[in-house]
Amino acid sequence: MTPILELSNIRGGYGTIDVLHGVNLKLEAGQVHALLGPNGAGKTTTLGICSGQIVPSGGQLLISGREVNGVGSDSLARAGVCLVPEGRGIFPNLTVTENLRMFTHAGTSMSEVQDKAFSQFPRLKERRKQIAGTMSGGEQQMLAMSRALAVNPSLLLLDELSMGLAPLIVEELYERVAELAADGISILVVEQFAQAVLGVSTVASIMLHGRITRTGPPAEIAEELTEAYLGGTTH
Amino acid sequence: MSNTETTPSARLQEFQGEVDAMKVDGGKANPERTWLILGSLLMIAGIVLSLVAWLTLQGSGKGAKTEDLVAMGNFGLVLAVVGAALFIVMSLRRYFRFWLVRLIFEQREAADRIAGK
Repeated sequence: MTPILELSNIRGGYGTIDVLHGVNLKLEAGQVHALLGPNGAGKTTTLGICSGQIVPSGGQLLISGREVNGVGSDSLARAGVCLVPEGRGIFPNLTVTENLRMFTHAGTSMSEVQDKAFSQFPRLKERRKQIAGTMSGGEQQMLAMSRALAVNPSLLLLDELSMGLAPLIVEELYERVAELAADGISILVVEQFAQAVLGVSTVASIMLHGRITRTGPPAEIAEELTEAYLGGTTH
Repeated sequence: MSNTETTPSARLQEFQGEVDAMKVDGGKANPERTWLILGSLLMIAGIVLSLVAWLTLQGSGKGAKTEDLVAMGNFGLVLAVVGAALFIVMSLRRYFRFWLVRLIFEQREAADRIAGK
């Protein structure tokens, strides 16, 4: 079956500064692919390219087998590509309810969005009139994940879900990720802290200095991570 | 958790249909370069146009052609100014991007030093 997402020798970055130097990655439909790497490896830039926010300077971005280099991020979002960015990606000056209303852009009704969000994250119902920016990091991340539930994506891109959160909250969030994957959503999740994501992923890759150095089953990748981060990997 | 079904789900088929219907124009990873070149060309064209108008005006007497030459010279000046503005803006964007990247690297190094790495 055609991979739902494929990066073929992707180069790209910011203007004349390339951060990615030939990235090859495949995400099969229904898989959870963990992209691991230290700070500055190019993981967020990779997600920026996958979501259409950054145009690659070389290589091919293929979605469902079709090259989509240069397609706007709004077109990809309408088609079903959902990015939950680093730093939550919510509107901090709006209430929880107002944020949920912003998620109805995909055509889902407000009542359906609220049902999905509150059933998965009851804490959001308790805080529905609270300004989103005043909630804890974990609650903000739950609100950000609600957007992923509301827009019914086919391809979900998650950037550093665990950043700044307590381990228990991270575990809860990744349980939701596993449920989304079980529903058939293909997920590419970027993480600095591997233990959080390796339990729910089907395949993992290590990214260093703008290149993917290793791809394999999560158990194998977990063993090689420390060596890879400290520069011992020569694959 | 990988999808072993041979038949894509309805949502996946819908997604594939929407992706197939997308307009793809390739995009530009570095649009600044195009604007830099355009700005340079406009500057040169504007200067040349103004020079030609001025030199022609010097050599001719008063007549109906004078107004045309003055208009041409003014148009050349406008082109040169617009071209110069484009060139300067795009150059500054590049300069500030490199400056920002250096700032980020220096801050990270400083943070690492403080953290004792």
